[in-house]
Amino acid sequence: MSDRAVARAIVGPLLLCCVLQIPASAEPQSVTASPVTFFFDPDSGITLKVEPDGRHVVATNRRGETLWRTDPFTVATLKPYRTPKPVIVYLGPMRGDARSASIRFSSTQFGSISLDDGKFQFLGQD
Amino acid sequence: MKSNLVPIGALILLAGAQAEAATYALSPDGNAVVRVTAVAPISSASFDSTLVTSAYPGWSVTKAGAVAGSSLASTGFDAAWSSATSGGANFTAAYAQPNAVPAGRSLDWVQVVTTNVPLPGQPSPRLDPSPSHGDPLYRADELLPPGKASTTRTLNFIDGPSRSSTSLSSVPSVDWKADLYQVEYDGAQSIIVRDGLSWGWNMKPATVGNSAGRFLNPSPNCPPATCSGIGSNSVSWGTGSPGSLSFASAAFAPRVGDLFKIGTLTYQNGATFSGSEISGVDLDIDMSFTNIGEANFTYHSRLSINNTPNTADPIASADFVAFTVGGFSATFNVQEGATASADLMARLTPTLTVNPLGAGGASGDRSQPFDALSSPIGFDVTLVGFANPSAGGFVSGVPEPGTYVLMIVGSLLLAIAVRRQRAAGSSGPITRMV
Repeated sequence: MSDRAVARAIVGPLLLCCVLQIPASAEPQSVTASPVTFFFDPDSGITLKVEPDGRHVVATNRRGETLWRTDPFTVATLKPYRTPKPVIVYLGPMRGDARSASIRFSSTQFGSISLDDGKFQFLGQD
Repeated sequence: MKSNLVPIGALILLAGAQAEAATYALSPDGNAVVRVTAVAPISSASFDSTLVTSAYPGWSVTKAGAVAGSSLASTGFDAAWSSATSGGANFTAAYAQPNAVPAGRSLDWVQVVTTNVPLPGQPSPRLDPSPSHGDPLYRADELLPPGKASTTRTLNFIDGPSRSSTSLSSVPSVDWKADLYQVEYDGAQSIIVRDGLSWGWNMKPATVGNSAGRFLNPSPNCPPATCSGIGSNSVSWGTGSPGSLSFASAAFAPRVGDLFKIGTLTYQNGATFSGSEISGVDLDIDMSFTNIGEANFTYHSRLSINNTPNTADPIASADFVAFTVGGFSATFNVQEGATASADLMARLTPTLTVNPLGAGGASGDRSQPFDALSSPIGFDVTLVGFANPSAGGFVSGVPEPGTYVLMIVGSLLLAIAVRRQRAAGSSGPITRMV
């Protein structure tokens, strides 16, 4: 096996893990609620991913360069609600705001996050 | 850390039973109001079992009525704002039955949430399960110990949903409703759903409303002056060609602090015989708020009616009205013989009270010493000026007292300067001006 083949064998699964971004420390989810921790905005070419801690969000551009990284729960000084350690379980489009994405925690707390700078706005909870 | 897990509503209850329920609460900026809806009993027959069976394969649901002798009631229900923009309600309930549940089983809840502002990526209605257990049950065990699944005879419930007031930019009203069912759980994948309670709240713009005006207390009284329409929104006075003043109501929906039209004044400059006219009248403006009737109030103002001697110059003969309350400095002038209208502009300001709960509300417990923020309980209005005069009318300002003081001081300084110049025999610019 050539060095290149060995490298592919190692890097391939690593990349897959990075793309899937399964929160390693996330709490158990409902059997129906598979976390959606990846969001690509085709207009801006910005990709949002949740890091394995379930809290940090990192934005990259089309070239894979990091634009910003933030922990919205901490930055917005949210308080734990219905669970001691809420983690992000959903990233998706933000209705009516093309420059933001919607974000939801396992605690049902949710808000919008700016694609431009990662600024988070709390919008409520169930 | 644990205190962070306790929502405001729980603290209200823990602080003591003297706290009154707040059925509504204004947002800290006064622009939105949340209001709780009536709690109502619901039958287990209304529970949609497919919400469980479709989302949790292998689970089974049995519907049954209430356990004989059991009770289920709301123990706390308050409209509240947990931050400057996040409003909703805190709700608690308690269930009790005569006998402990059989061994291996527990008492618990399921809750179905229906709202027009659902969680991102979630449908409505939806089951509202606890995040940490992977089952359809609503457990509050990580909020407060009493919320744990119970193997005894009692079970408590607590919830504190909210939405941002920014939601009102996309929907006219945020409507949030929960159907809460008491359940008996077998510890595996089977639940018996029993009767429950429906509860909810809504959030609406607070400053939507309309005005109505009426004229009162003419000066001088009638008689000796001649007038009619006192108590209505249109008053006329004088013999000859009567003058009149009327107030047309307006619908409004301003942001707190923004300028808005509170109504329209129409003034007819008549030609009346001296002694039959009035020189002042009260204008009471009733402010009615569509979504928060508790904040309705009447603004008491007074208008001076300044009749000028009529000459050949219609502008110089213009009569004018001006408010004599507050800092109102504009006059609305109407040329001799003309009838003209002008919009009356105003601003809403919140009426503040110190609310220890930091959550607004009409009847918050003001004795509790934590989080003493000022919260609005209603509104005041400030008249600002006239705008958009119609043909025959014009708006001008009345110099304020400070302006008079400046004019007097300026004149004195000028006189002193002239005096000094003359004394010095100077031929400077001031001497030339004089």
